[in-house]
Amino acid sequence: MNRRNFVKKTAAFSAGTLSLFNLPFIGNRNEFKDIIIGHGNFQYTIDLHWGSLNAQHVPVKDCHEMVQDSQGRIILLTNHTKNNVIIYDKSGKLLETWGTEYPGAHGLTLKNEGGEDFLYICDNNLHEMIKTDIKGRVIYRIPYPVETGVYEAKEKYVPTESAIASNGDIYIADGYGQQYIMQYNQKGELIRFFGGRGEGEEHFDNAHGVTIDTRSGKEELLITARNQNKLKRFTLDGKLIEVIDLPGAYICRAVVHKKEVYLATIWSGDRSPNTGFISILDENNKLVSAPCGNVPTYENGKLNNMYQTLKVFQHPHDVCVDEDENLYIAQWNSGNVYPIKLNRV
Amino acid sequence: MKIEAMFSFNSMIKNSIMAFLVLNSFFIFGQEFQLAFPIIKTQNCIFEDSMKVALELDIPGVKLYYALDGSEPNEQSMLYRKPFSIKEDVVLKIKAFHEDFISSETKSLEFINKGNKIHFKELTIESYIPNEYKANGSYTLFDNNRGSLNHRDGKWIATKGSDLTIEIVTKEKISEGELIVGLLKKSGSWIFGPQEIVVSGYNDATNEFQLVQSENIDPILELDPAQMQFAKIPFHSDFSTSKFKIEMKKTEILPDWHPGDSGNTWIFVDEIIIK
Repeated sequence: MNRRNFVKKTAAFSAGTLSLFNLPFIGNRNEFKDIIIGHGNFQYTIDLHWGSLNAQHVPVKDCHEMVQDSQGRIILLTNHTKNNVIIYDKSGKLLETWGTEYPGAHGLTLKNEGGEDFLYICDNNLHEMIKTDIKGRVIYRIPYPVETGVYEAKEKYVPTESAIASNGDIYIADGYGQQYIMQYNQKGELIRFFGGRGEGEEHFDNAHGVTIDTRSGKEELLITARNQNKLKRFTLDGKLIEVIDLPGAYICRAVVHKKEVYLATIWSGDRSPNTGFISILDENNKLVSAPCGNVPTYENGKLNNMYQTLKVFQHPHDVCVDEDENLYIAQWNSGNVYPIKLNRV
Repeated sequence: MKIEAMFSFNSMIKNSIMAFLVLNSFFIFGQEFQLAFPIIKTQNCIFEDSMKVALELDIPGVKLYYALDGSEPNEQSMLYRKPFSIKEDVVLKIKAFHEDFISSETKSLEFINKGNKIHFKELTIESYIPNEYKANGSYTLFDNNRGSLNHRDGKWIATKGSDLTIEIVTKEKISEGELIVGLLKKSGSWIFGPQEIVVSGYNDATNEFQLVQSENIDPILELDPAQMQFAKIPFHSDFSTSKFKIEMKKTEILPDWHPGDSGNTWIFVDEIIIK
């Protein structure tokens, strides 16, 4: 290989973009600013290519949810049946994949039980919840709750999310079905169900996410009513405690980390497509930061309408928070994109 | 000498590859972001005297330009500084600009002054309306309250796969005027709106409805975003009447670009005004 050939090859290689030897341009790179999104104590830079993989080998469809396991790995659930579960290290490097049997993979919850991590997957298409170990071996399934008597067919039950209490009770939100929250004991026996459609605040329209909240010192439930732009606090036995109004924010599920609650907000304002942002609530459940949304402001205790300001996200569907409070954002219906990382500044 | 040359050649390759990587990652990942739609803050776009309007996009350094003459706003248009009043029928168009970001798409909102409206004595929806789109019944259509692009907001009256027919009795007899119909168009949700609106008046002399005016409505185009609009239909007849029939004809054939394959198109209406 001689120098002339090399130059020729590289020139051909880079044709259509820029000459390789246009060095001043590279020098100008510093002129580009790092965009910072979010408000107050919760501001971030954007890493768009954190989790990008070769779509030929490790494809995704909707990236529905993400959790971090006790080894610090980031676990993504997608409804692509070539690899329903994609496991990254924190730098975004692919570690492993598994799962081909979850066409409606939607809800992903991790619970460490006796030193071992287990995953709880809610599948919209299979109409059931599946518990697996961290390698994907199925432990058990909880099928549609025929014992409630309110489901005439399994198709009417479309579970979106689960949450596991410290006593082993399992809560499942039927967020795309009849809007009930099921409570099972650890043997999988139905204890009660509550919520459902209806007019009162104890009812739901799109009960999309359910989470255990231990910030008050005792366990409570945080349940999203996505179409109502509300986050609802319940006792573990299904009694409504409080309604948190987030007008304009279509929140998917609450993720509790330290004193805060993080919520992927899939649409905003008038629910136009591609209008998502991220919502962060403080210990008093007040919205304090909205990366890619307007500055949250309260008047007479009421939050002013939220809307998207910058099109970084299309349809954020879940937030995973790591120990450094960096965020990993999984998106639904956003052109098969891999997760985006937000680095806290 | 040869070794030295080799060395510099190698480092050149290395530098070139580095440069190539830097450039490429720059192009692929050093993406520019676009501003979201600006927000139009107003109580109502149907008003009697005048209506105050504020514009907003909560990003430091943003500039909002607007136009009231139907033109596409650009940086030569009016720069928004403070809330203003609208007095006439206008289409407000607004676009956000920022030196660090790609400018927003244009947001538009049509305002109607109904100061000289004809009062309705009765408004009856003749067509079958599915339960989820009954809103506040026929009152919805003259409550001065527009729906939003969220067609499930409980402010829209809708029919699926059928025409939407409405009968109106006005307080006074008229022979001419302008019919204004608030419509939603949202092809992603199969909401194509009517392809034609037919206005008939009840002729007391013949004891039947007689065609007064029919108007084709512009079809929705593939790249059109979801939008609310007013269809305006001027009419005049050679007889005076207080009883009108308004037939909104459903879109019969889906355009080729649409993935749907049936005639089950929706018509969404939120407001009917006669001036």
